Amino acid sequence: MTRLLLIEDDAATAGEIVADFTAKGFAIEHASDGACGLAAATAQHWDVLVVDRMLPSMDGLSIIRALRERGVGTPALILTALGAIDDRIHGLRSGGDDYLVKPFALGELGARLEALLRRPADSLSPRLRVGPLELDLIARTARRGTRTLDLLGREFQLLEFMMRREGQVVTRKMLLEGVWNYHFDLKSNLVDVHMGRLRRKLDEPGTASLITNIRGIGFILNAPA
Amino acid sequence: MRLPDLVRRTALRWGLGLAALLALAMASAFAIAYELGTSALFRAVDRSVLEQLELLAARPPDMLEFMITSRMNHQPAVITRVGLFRPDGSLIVGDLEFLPPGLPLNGKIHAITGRMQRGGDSEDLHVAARRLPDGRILLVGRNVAGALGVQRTLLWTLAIGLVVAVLVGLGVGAGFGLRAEQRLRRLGRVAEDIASGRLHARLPARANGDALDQLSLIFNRILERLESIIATLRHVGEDIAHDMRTPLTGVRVRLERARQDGRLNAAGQDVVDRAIEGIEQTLAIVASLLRIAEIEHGRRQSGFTTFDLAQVLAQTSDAFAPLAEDSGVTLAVDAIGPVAIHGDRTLIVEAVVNLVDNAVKFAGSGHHVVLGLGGSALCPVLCVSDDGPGIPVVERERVFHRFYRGDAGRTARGSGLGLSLVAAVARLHGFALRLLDNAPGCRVELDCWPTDGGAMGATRTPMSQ
Repeated sequence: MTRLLLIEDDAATAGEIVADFTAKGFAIEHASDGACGLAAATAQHWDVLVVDRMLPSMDGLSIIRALRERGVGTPALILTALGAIDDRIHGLRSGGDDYLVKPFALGELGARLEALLRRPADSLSPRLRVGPLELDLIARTARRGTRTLDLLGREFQLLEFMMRREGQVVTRKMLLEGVWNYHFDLKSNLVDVHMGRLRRKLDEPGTASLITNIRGIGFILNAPA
Repeated sequence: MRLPDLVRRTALRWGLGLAALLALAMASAFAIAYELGTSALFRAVDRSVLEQLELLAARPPDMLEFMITSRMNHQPAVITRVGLFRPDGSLIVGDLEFLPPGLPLNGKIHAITGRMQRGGDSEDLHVAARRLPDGRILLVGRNVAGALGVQRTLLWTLAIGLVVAVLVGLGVGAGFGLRAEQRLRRLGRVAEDIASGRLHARLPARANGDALDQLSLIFNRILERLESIIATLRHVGEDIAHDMRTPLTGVRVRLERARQDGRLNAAGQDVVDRAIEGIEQTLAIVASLLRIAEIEHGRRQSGFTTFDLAQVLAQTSDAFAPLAEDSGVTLAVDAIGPVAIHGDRTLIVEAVVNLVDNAVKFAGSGHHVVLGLGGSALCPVLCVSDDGPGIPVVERERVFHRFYRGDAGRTARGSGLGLSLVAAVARLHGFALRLLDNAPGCRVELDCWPTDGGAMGATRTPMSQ
């Protein structure tokens, strides 16, 4: 069972997250201020932390920094309000943590926590394999079985992103950020169009699609059983 | 009418008017001084002439001749002249050779000019003469050359003073006029700034200054009030957006749970899906509003870097090409890089993405969208144009305002906030944003260098037709 510590002072947001993630099978505990949260985070082992940025008694980023100084490497996701996004928040992503701007869909939070929990190993292997799919990251070639896939640059990046997160739900937001480097809401079906093209190139008649659409949340790449 | 012309004329009128007034005042003061000064001078001369005439006339008649003679011996006749004449006008004794012809013998002062001594020079005299009881004629006169000299000197002094005064008046007047002109021009510049939307600008004013300063202070108070009212209005919008977020998110969570429960039949599932889609759209609008507010409040420029705009265009075109193709729109890039600009790269990318997204949406199937770079290396102009239906002139200004969408836009996706976001990004950078007629279609131009010198530069949409 995945152990999640939520540090959030807003009761309504906390209630929703607790209800949703309990239903998803997480073991979740909730602290409502920074000092309690930091104490709880150091007292026992957690798989992942969700920390609000604005907390009474201690700032969310300070909690993460304090934990890292004590050698606690638990991956963390910071919840932040629009308008409080600065370089330090952006820096979380390069540091292996993540952030999410309120309001967010619970599906988005779930997908991001999953991504944090199953952080792709930064394998040095120049080849990626998922089922029949094979990417050569140096030659920039892609194959499905024996068939060579003719992918455009962005489609290659998109497929690489999906393959590194095989079996995980990937949201449109994550794709916009990870593949296109768009760190803002885009009210356009840009991702769907690119994904549609990629799928047409990957899929083979008579077999199930490797990438499936998770309605309202995003996409998932599964190796055929 | 252009403001500076009006200002210059006003200032010049003030300067000349002041000089004329000063000259007039000086001239009348000088005239009075001249009149008073000279008459006082001559009054003193005349009084002494008359006094001596009476003094001599009051002496015993037989003493008179002797007194005049001894007086002449003691005091050489330089200033005062005395003469005693026989009833027929011939000289008995005195330092005048003859009685001036036609001189009334009434004991009153008369000004005469002429030679008083044989071989002497012509002189200016004030004289008085009277007939004594024994028939002889007594004359007392005084040379007024000195007084006349003083009078001339006074006249010259006053004339030179007047000229100096007029010149000083003109200079000071022009100086005041120029200063007033500069002040008015400065006020005009700030006022134009304010008119173009920079409400945080203030008129220059000294606390203990003149009427203009007092007026400026009052205007500044009005501006402060206006700014706070507008900020309040804006906050109302943002507060509503903030407040809507939580209940909307709650509704979405409940709908998501209902869908995941699996107790819904197909029809119910469909209804829930569409409801979630509607909530998503509403939340997207809320998020856009808050995003625009965030950009508008963020006057900071710490995130500014120098980057290649041509590369941004190429990447945006690359991202949107499949989308455009699916909508039947041809998307092309007409930009030769690198073109370095200074700004917040993330925000500029967001603005370009919004412009391209809009252009592709509104151009419509069978039309073209061109992402171009014009201007010069120092003043690059980003240009997104299409040959679609375009935007009517009357609607151009409005499309930058929040939520506005033209008729053509009502069927397309989007919250209608795309262009307001672009305008907010432009304002933050001080870039000028224009919406123009592409004949046919529409053309958005963004001057990628700060034209208004600040983070809150104005965004203007010229309506030239």
